[in-house]
Amino acid sequence: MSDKELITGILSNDQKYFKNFVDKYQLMVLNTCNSFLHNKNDAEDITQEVFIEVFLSIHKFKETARLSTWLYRISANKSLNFMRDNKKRKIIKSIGNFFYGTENSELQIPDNSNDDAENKYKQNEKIKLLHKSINTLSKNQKIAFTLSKFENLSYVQISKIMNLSLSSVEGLMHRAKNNVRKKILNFYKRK
Amino acid sequence: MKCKTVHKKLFLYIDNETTDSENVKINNHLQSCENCKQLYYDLKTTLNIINEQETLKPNPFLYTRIKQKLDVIEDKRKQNIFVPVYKKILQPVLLSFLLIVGFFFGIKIGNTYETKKYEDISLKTELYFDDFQQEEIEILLLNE
Ligand SMILES: [Zn+2]
Repeated sequence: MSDKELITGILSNDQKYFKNFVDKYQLMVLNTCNSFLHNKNDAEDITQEVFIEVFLSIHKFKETARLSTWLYRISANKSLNFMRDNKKRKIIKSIGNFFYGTENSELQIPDNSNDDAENKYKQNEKIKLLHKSINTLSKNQKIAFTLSKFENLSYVQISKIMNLSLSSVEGLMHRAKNNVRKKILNFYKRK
Repeated sequence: MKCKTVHKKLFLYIDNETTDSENVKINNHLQSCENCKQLYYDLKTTLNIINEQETLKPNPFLYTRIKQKLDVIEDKRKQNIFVPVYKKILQPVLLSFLLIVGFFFGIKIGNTYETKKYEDISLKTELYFDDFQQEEIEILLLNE
C-alpha cells in the first residue's frame, strides 16, 4: 500500500489502514527513538506516543513532504521531550534519595575475580561515556548527530527533517562531532 | 612525535584522515608508548559503540496498545462533550470564588496572629528580667 493510500484510508477512519501504517513504519520509529533514548522500554513507550500523535494529527500532514520525514521529526521531538522530562524526574528522585536514602544504588562495582565481568564493566563505562557526551550537545546538534550516526541518514534527509539548510546541518554536524570527541578524549586523558 | 601531538591526531588517525608520513610517525609512537596506545584503543572502541547499537525488533502487541490508548483518548473526548458547562464555566467560577474567600480569610488570620506574636515577645522579655521566674522554668525543664 502506498503512503497516499494509507493516509487517505486513515482519514476515512478505516482501522485497517492505520494498522497497516503502524506495521509499515514501526521498525523505523522504534529504532529512531532507541537511537535517542538507548533504552528498549522507553523506546517502545515513545513509539506508541509517536503513532498516537500521527493518528491525531494526520489531517495536518502536507502531502508535499515525505511521510518518513514527518515521522522522523515526530520521533526525534517526542524522544527529546521524554529525555528532558526524565531529567527532571531524576533530579526530583535524587532529592528524595538525599532525604530518605537510596533504595538501590546505581553504582556497579567491578568484579575483579572475573575477567568477563571486568570487560563488561569497561564496556558499560564506554557506552555511558558516549551517551553522556552526546547528551551534552545542544538540541539541534543532538538531533543531527543522532540521525546521522545512529540512523545513517544523509545530510540532505536530515536537513528536510530539521527544516534547515544543508549548510546548517553540515555546521551542526561538524560542531557536534568535535564536541563529542573532545568530551571522550578529555575523559580518558584525565584517567 | 610527542604524546601531545599524537593526542591531537588520534581521531584523524582513527578516521584514516592522516597523511602517510603522519601515519608512520603515529604508528612508531604507538608501538613504543603504552599510554598513547591505550588511549588510541579506548577512543576507537568508544566511537565504535555507535556502530554496535542493536536493532530492536517490533513488538507484536504495539498496534493493540496504541489502539487501547486511542480509545481512552476518544472516551475522554466524548465525556468532555457532556460536561462542558461544569468544566468550562462553573469550575472556574467556583475556583475564583474559593480563591477570593481564601485570600480575605488569610488576611484576617494573618492580622490576629501578628498581634498575638508581639504580645508573646513582650511577655518573654519581661521574663528574662525576672530571675525567680526563669529559675522556675529551668527546674521545670530539668524535671521533664
Ligand atoms: Zn605517547
